[in-house]
Amino acid sequence: MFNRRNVLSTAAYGSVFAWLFGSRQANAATEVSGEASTGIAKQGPAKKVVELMPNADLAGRMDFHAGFLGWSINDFERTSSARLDSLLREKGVNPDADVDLIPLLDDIRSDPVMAMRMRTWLSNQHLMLGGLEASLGLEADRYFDEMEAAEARHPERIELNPDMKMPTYAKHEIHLQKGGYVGNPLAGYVNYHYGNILYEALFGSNVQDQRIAQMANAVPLPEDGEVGRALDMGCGTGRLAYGLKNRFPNAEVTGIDIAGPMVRFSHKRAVDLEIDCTFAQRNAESTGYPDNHFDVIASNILHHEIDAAATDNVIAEAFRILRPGGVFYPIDHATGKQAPQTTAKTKFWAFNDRAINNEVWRDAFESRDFAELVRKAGFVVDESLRPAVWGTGSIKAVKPA
Amino acid sequence: MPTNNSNRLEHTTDSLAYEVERAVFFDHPAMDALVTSFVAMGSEVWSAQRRIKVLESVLKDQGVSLDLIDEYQPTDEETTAWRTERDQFIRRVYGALEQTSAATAKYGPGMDSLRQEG
Repeated sequence: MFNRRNVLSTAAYGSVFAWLFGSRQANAATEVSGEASTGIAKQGPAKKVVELMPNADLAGRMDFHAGFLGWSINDFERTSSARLDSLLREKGVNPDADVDLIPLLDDIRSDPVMAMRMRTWLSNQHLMLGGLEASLGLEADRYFDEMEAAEARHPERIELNPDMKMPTYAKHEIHLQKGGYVGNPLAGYVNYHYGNILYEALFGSNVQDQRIAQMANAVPLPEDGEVGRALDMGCGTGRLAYGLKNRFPNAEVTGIDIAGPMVRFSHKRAVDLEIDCTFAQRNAESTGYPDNHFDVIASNILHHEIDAAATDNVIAEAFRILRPGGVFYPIDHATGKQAPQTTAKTKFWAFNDRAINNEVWRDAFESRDFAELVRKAGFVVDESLRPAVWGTGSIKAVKPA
Repeated sequence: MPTNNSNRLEHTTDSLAYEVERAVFFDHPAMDALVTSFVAMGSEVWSAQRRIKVLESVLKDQGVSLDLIDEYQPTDEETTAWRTERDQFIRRVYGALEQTSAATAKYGPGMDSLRQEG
């Protein structure tokens, strides 16, 4: 069997902005945080390992789905938004007003243009994730081999807790990924490739973790500049943890996730990349770390994937395990005064994201002012920084000394 | 998960299924299935085109004339194998058309439940 892996010795992080082109990408390029250039050290990993798909045919199909997704959420969404605008006006509804959407849903869904936009998006998502899951599953033993080999090589860098009680909110099939993050042993592989497709559609590319490196480089430093321990809460496929380690090479960097398959993939890929991070299957609501343990705690799109009670608990836990003067930097959707104005149109697309992308907790997250929640937990919050990347909110929270 | 080693630790737990792929947006589920097939067809066509581009690049790098492609006659074994793959291709592209009876509700059950939430 041909081993579809390419080990590339050089791929400069200096090209991190090379993928920023096009309308949304141009926005991203102009929204880079001013903090991004103030880090301790920004160096690429020692190795670049491309996680290729198991065969060229699957790669070709996924290449199509990435392109189709990009067309759907850019070109087609623009034309269908214009159509939605017309539909609402025909009903005597101001599309720029915050109105009750529920009575209008049948009319919107019945419109052929709107139906086609929703149908084609859903079909593409279903074919994409279904194709990934089926094809990766056919070579499951190879992927198990990889994860087990990495665990044998660096058992000190991974902690799995198979008896951990799994909260219900973590069991949903977010984004229509079958089994979600917890129910498919190859969920990390599926999510890694899905993430690359999504990032390509939205921003250009993330195959070499470029966009996540940008996030890690935007993490504000504590005032004293000391970063001995950094934590990525809800690490998913581990990319923010890798970025934190690259930025803070002398720090102990840990990524935690509630899903065992995600932790295993994160660890496997870190071993491939020769990045010395530790990954642990822990619940961010109750991590088990000592008080005042970390200098920096960051997260990437964790909070809109968990319920409101869990978000409150995670914020409180971050406060407990962060040392005085430490920085909490959760990257997620914009809420509160940072959020875009709520209109009938934004409500529809948010509803659509919930309905056909199974973003179960998005509404719960966006309906509250996240910065205010962080502030109430005891942090000193600064919302004035530019977002780490385009499309996110900006919260720098410091635990008072 | 189709691992051949049942002793392997999967580190998984049960998940909550969301059957939105059965959602219906048009007047008849057959129309939804047709759209899905249409998208799947694009995926297959582009995948094939992309593979051909890869092949041609590889062949050129090896100094092989691309004229040989037009002159090539498949062996019996290849013909049999390719027919099997062709039938798999047809099921991938057109399989949705035979699954219309599984679609039972507007938007699907998950989305309908949202209406109760406002």
